[in-house]
Amino acid sequence: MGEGLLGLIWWGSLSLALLSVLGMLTLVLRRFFLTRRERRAAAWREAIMRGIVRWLDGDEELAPIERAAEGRLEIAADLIAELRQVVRGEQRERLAALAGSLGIVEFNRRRLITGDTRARRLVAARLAIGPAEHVALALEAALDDPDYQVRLAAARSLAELRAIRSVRLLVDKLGLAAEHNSRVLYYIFRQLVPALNGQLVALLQAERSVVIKGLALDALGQSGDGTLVEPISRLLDDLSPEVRAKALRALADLGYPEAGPRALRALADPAWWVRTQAAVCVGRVGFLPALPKLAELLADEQWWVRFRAAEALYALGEKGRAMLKAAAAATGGRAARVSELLLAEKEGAA
Amino acid sequence: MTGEILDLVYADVLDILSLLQPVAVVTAWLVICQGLAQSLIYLAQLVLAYRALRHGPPPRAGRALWWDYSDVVMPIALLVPAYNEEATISESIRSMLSLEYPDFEVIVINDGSKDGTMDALIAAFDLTPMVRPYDEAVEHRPIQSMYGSPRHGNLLVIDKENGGKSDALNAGINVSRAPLFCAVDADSLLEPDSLLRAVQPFIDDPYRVVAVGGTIRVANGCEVRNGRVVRTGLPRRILPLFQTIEYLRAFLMARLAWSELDALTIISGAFGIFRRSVAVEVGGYTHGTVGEDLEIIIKIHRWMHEHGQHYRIRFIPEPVCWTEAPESLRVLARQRMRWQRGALETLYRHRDMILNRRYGRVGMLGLGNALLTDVLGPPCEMLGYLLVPLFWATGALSFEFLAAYLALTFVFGICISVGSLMLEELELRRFPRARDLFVLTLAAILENFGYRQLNNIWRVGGFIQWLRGAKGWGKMTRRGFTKTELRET
Repeated sequence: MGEGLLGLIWWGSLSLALLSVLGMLTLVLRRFFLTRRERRAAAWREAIMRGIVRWLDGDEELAPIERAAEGRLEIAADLIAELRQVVRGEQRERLAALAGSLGIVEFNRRRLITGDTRARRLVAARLAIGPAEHVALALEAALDDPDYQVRLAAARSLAELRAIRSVRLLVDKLGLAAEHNSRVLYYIFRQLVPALNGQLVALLQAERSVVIKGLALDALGQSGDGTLVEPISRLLDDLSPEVRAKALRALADLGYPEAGPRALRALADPAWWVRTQAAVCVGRVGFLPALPKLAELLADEQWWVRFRAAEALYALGEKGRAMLKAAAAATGGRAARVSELLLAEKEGAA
Repeated sequence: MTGEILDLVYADVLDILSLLQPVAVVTAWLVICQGLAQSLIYLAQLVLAYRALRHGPPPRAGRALWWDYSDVVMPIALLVPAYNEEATISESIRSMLSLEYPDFEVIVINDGSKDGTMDALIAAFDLTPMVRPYDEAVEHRPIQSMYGSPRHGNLLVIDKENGGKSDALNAGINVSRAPLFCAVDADSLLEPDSLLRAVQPFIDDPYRVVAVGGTIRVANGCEVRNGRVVRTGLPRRILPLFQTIEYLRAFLMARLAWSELDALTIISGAFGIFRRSVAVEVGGYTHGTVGEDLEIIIKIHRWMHEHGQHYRIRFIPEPVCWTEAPESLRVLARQRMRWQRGALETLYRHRDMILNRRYGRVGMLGLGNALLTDVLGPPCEMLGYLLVPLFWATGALSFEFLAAYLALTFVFGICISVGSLMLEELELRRFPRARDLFVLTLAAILENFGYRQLNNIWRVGGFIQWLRGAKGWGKMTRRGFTKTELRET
């Protein structure tokens, strides 16, 4: 048994070492061929690129691009996806039309079904080129893909094409209530406003998940719609401090003074991160009645509350700055330190 | 008469050998079992790393990352501790200021340098004194002054009393306001899109990911311009070439595999992104250790487990940072001894976590592996170098033992080193020429015959230093990157 194991170690090690060296030498050879292939691909890419640039500049002749892209749709699809990120307006529309004419939209749609996971992720993102009426169905079907990253990429493309019809459906398909909570979702949800504001508000009222409420609040905060102050303010009574903090953040982003009285109450919230956001909010909306409470918070036990309260006082103008100066003049203590440092930072004193 | 004496001596030798044989066999099995366990772990790492690379997102160009993530990234503070870096600091910081990331600031912490580091910074960036309110959340030596640059709104320089790298990083943590901070060495050469790449796990899993590390590569032989690696090349000297393979093995294979198992125990001090709030919870970096990068990760694991938190510490395989590898045996020996000492300091401090189920995979797998490879590994292998050939020469051990031991210490390593190189070629392909791959393959074979053994001797040296209670970093001499290039001719 012992000798057998010793023999196995010797022959096993030797075989593995030999196999790995042979494998590596094969990869070195493969590299020679890949390098040549890539050089050819680079040349084709350049030719296709020249054609596309001419097309974007108004040239109506499609034949040269079709010739260059023939049998090389993958390269053309990749180029068009890249260019989509750098062109806007009419040029983007021309690019989408070109993708349709070259068969790239159809090529991408097929690969979204037949490709491997990596390909599906890539193609789901590429389909944001649109047009929506041609790709929305395929992208909606991709929301059922077993791979989360494919679903996320499809949702992003749909959002960019303004082709999401139901927020509830999106939430269900992405499985947002579970562990999936990529920050890309913030971007997706922000594309839903203002068109789907009503659905987002309904989601706020019906949903229990902190993650989903957070996404909806963040999006609504970007909408600039003053009528949302009331429905968002209702969430300041939510049981979750995370939701209360996000609601305050959304109110701060909206920037309407109507949010002031509710935010003032939140300055006394038991959770320090809610008090922090409340301080940010009253400062942002310019709510002067909050001055005395903010001055109290300069001595809060949590640094971030003290700091944001000091910032808010400074942002609230002369009266707030006078309160900061008074706090700084007092000897010692948390309030004096944060006030002194903040005044020095804002007024450039060393 | 002489013949009788010789017979007696021969008989005595035979007696001694017969007594020695059981000792020799037990010793040989001990070192072979340790080596076998280590080798099997390496093999498992290789398989896991391959799986992770195959299933992970494909490497993407920096511009694609920008398009996809620039709207959703979190702000990052780049913390750059600097001690006596007068010659290179300005170029390094200039390079860091031009990183491709939508929202970041660079905080340089001059840790009481004795040379002209501070003057060089003031002159290069027109620094003027400023004040920033900060929380005294973690401990550090007093900050004497802060400076800002009118030309670079996202540059802040802290001038503080000397307290060591950990102390400087703690000062940076306190002063930073971003939710994430990235600890980097002042002489690290960062990839332009390093932050965008490394922040991805935080974007994908923003509630659970607390720290992310990335691959560090050897910059020797690369073309460096304005603090950037503009062309990947290979070192011409053998020592840095071997280290190129070592880094591939350590990062692309080992760390990626441990990350897959949620048992990653180290993020390199040269580049690591951390959630600031978590670093504050664990008390920041520990003072008086040379293994501060290992220490903070273990502290995070401990805190998270003891507070019942669900968390992830992730590693991304793409290269994010380049470092200059030592080219002389003396400097390399010093570095390796220090690394070993740092590992032992931390493992001893957190010994209650090792093989402790309470700490989950980290305790059982990550730290169990550290016990095997960092604590038991070096002395066992060293014992093997000395005793197995001796026992075989004296006839106390059969050739099979010697062959198995040689296979584990010389031959098996080839499979692992070459395997790591295969991972690189299959998934990342950062070495531009086929010729480079061929040279690296040769290096991956050769490093197992001499270099690996030398490394083990240094690690035993580090072990002895630790037992003797040695402190401090020792002098780390670097050639430095010349202004235009490092290509050796």
